[in-house]
Amino acid sequence: MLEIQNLHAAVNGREILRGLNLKLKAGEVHAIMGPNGSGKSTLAQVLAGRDTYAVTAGTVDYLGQDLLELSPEDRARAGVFLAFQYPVEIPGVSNNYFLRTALNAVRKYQGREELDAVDFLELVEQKMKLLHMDDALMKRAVNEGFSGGEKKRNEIFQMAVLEPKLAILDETDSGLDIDALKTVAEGVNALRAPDRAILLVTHYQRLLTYIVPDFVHVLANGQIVKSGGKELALELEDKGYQWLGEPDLTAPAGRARA
Amino acid sequence: MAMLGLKDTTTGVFANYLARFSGQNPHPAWLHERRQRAFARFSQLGFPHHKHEGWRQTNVAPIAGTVFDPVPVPAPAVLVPRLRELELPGVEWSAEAARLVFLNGAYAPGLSSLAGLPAGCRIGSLAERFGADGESLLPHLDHADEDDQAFVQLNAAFLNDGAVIEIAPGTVLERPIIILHVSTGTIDPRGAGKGMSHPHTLVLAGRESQAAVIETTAGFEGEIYFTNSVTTIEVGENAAVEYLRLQQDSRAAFHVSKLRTRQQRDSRLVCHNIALGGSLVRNNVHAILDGEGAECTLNGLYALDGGQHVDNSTVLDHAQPLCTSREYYKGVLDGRAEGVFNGRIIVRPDAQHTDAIQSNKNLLLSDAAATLSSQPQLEIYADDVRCTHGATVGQLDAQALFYLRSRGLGLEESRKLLIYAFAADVLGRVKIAGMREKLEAVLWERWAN
Repeated sequence: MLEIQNLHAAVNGREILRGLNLKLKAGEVHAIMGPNGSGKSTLAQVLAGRDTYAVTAGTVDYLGQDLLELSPEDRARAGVFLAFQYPVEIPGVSNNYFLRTALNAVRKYQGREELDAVDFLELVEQKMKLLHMDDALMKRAVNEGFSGGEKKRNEIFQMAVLEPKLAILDETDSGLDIDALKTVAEGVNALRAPDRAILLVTHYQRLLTYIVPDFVHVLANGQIVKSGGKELALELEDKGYQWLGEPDLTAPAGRARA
Repeated sequence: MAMLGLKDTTTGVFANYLARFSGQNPHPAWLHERRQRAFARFSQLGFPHHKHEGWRQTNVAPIAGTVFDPVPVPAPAVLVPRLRELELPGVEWSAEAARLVFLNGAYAPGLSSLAGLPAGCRIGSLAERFGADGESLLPHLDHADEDDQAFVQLNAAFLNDGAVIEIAPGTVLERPIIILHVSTGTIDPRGAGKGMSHPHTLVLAGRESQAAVIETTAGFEGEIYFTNSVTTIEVGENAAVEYLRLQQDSRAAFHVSKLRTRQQRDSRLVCHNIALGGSLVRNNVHAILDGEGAECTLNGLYALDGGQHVDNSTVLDHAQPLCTSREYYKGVLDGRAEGVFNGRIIVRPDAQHTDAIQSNKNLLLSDAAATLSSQPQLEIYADDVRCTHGATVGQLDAQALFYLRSRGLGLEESRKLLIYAFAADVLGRVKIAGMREKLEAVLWERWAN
């Protein structure tokens, strides 16, 4: 589904991704772990089309298309979804309007019929149950006044409504208490499907207890330095990132048990 | 008649103007004298210029230097089909709507409608009243405020017609009263026939009455004309008035307006000022809270582009204790537009427990070409008050734009949505039934490009 080859990306002239290679097949869940500053979030943003990052070399093939050629909106319409690490507050725009407009933009692009208000409401109610969300949320402005946990849940809720083919979750677990994490994980697990690939970007192994990945990759210094199965995550949890030759000066206290 | 710009207008030319008015509307001697007094005062004051306090950022030389013509009223037969060219969200043409229409400042009875009003409400043309019992209205027409005296005097000197709305105590209006001023001019900067009108709108809301008034000024795109209007609103004890001013003039027009409000005890007044048109616009507001417990909201939106210059200069005058004022003005500026906001709050010595909040927020859409000047001015002479003010100027949030696009919304749609979201709270304060949606539609269209 997704094939990244020799990807280089820079921000303000500083190179962050330095020849990254990664391959995801439909139905797979991959986790990318790595210390702060290793380029995890950059990868997520580059795949979604954020223009503050300049791609200086490499290719990204998504379902036979050159992903890097597409505008952010066309990527979304073609089925790419990024759950933001820091979801943006948009006062004055209701969740309801925003999500319905987004869904219909995606459906239109894919040649499907647009949903009217009634059908949309039905779909939304079903997805809200999945994430234990309050109906009142739809009338509120996008992310405005939401707690950190509510924002992350809202990201997964949007993903559930938009039903992407490739979902990229950028540190969706950061800042969540255990109950919220379980809810989010439940939502993500419900979206695992044979025709969908999921890329989890995370700093913490904890998430992978609840969303069990098929593959784990370690990103350091802009490259994938190690790949393996789910057991690799546990190994990282025990040993930290230092054993890979990466000084982990920015790791938060209390993360490593060692 | 010699064609001269207003700054050159001698008393002799003014006498000619007066003679023409008299031909149209025979007027009583007291009005004649009032006009002459006002003209003498205007001649003495002259047009304000950059050295006058409150006029530093707005240069009215283009008005002073243009030759205007108090054009004869276009025959409705000619103008009526053209009115359809105008998209007027504030006007309802149905027979049931109470509506006063003015063409180049003169009342057009054929386009107006006095239907649907309760017995306690009297509306009509000022010119008609001048011919009857108009003198009784005089105390309401004079404004002594200093900031904008020149234009107020000019209005009084050329005053010919306008709208009068009198609402008896206890009367509740179910539907808004609609006022429309349509002006015509010429698209040729050197051509003759640039219209000029000086209407006065008078709203007198009696004790415990309730009413809404929508006043629209409009013209045909590209035409040059000058509107210098004065609106006076008096709100009686415990009465509630919502007033919406919608300025949709031609992008080549000059527009100066004065809104003067005076509120009695426990009254509520909400004034919306939506500025969309005009090339050079100055909106003066002087809101006087003159009775305990009165509440006043000034809610404004200016959406500008091209080379438009719009100056909103407002004064919230707390004259009595325990009054509340809220002022929210927002601007969306594109192209080379220039926005000016001057927000003055006066708290007089007696006005203890004043609660005043002022906010001016601006969104610049073009890179550095549009400019904005925002100046709060607090004059507080009482010691137990709450007065706050804040001003911001920003651009569209790149993060928010990316967020919307990453969900599949197109670039233009995302931009439009964010601009619209910025203005949403101003429109949300419009409570007149159906108006918010109509204004949203107009603005949505405007920001479509």
